[in-house]
Amino acid sequence: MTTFQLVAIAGCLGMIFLTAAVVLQRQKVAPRQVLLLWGLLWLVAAAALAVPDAMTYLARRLGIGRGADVLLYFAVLAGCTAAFRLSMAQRRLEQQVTVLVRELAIVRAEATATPSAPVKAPGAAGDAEARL
Amino acid sequence: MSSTLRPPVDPVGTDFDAPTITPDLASDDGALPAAAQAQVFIVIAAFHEAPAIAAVVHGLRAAGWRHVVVVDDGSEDATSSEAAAAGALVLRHALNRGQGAALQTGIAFALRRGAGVVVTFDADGQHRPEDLPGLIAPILSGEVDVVLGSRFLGHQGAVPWRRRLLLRAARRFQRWTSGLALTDAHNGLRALSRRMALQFNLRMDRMAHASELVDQIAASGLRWREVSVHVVYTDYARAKGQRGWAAARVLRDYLLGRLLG
Repeated sequence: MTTFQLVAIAGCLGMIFLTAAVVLQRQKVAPRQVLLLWGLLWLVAAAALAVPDAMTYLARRLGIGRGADVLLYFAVLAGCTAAFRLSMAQRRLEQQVTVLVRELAIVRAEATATPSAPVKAPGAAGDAEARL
Repeated sequence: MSSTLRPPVDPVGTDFDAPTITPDLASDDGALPAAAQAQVFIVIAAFHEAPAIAAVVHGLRAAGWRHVVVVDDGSEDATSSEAAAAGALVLRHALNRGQGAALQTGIAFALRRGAGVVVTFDADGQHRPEDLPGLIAPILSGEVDVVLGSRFLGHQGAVPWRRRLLLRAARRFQRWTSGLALTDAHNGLRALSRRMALQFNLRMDRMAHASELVDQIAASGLRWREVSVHVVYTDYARAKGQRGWAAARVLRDYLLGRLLG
C-alpha cells in the first residue's frame, strides 16, 4: 500500500466520522438521508482506494476498460447534476428576490402616497384580491 | 448612463413623421370621458430613462390620464425624481430586477389601487398617448379583456427592415409556442382588463416576459384583440432599445423559463 493510499483512505474515514457525528448530533443541519448518502460516498471512495483492482473489475463489467475512466465518467455526471441543481436553486432564489423587491416597492409607495380612494371599476366588485 | 446623454426632449408624439390617425380614433379625436379615464392605470417600467421619462409622463398627464405609475427598476440616475416631478406615482425597485418584474410590480400596485384597466406603456417615448383611447375602448365596452398594440396592423409604420425581419421570426415562434396568431410579437403597448390583469403572474424577470405574457393570455382563454398603434423610432429609443442580438438571450430566458417554471 502506497503512502498516497494511506493518507487518502485516512481522509475518507475522517469524512465518514464527521458525517456520522453530524447525523448523530445535529439532525437539523441536513436531512438524515442526505448525510447517509454522503457517508456512503466516502465509504465507496475509501474502498476504491484500498482495492484499486475493484474499480478495474467494475470498469470491465461496464465495458469501459480502465478504472480511472469509470471514476472520470461518474465525476462528470455528478458535476452536471450539481450544476443543474445549483442553477435551479439560483433561479428560485432570483424569483424570491424579485418578490421581496416588489413587496418593498409597493409597501413604500403605499406608505408615502396620499391615500386616494380606490376607484371601483365595473366588474371589479367581487373579483379575487390582487396578488403580488 | 450619465446625464450628458440628455437630448432636447420633444413632447411625446411630436417627432414622428407620418401622423397616421387609426380608424379607431378617427371618430372621437382621441378623447375618453373623464370617468372612464379615472379607472385606467398606466404602468411604465423604467430603467435609466431619466432623459425621456419626464416627457413621457407629461404627455400622458396632459392627455388627461390621472394614474400614471412609473416603476423605477433600480435606476442609478434621476429616473425616479424626474418621473415624480412630472406627476407620476413612482415605485422603486431597490434592486434591478428586469422589465418583466417591474411590469408585474406596476400591475400588482394598480390592481391594489382598484384599477379597472391596466395599460403597459414604454418609458422611452416610442408610444403615443393618442393611441390609448383606441386601445382601451374595446375593454371598456366589454368586448375583450386584452388589447395588444400592433405596429404592423393596418398601416405600415416606419419600422427599420432588420427589426421587421426579427419581429417576423418572433411572431412565427410565438404562434408556434402559444397558439396566438399576433401580427406584432413584442409591442410594449397593451391594455388589460382587471380580470385579465389579476391572472398575470410574470415570472420571467427580464425581456422574455413579453412572450410569457402572451402565453398567459392564451392560457386564460379570455378574448383579445390587436389594435393598430404607431411606434415612434426616435434615435433615443433605438439607442436605448433592444438590439437584435438580444433576441438570442430572450429566447434562452424564455426556453429556460418554460422548462423550469
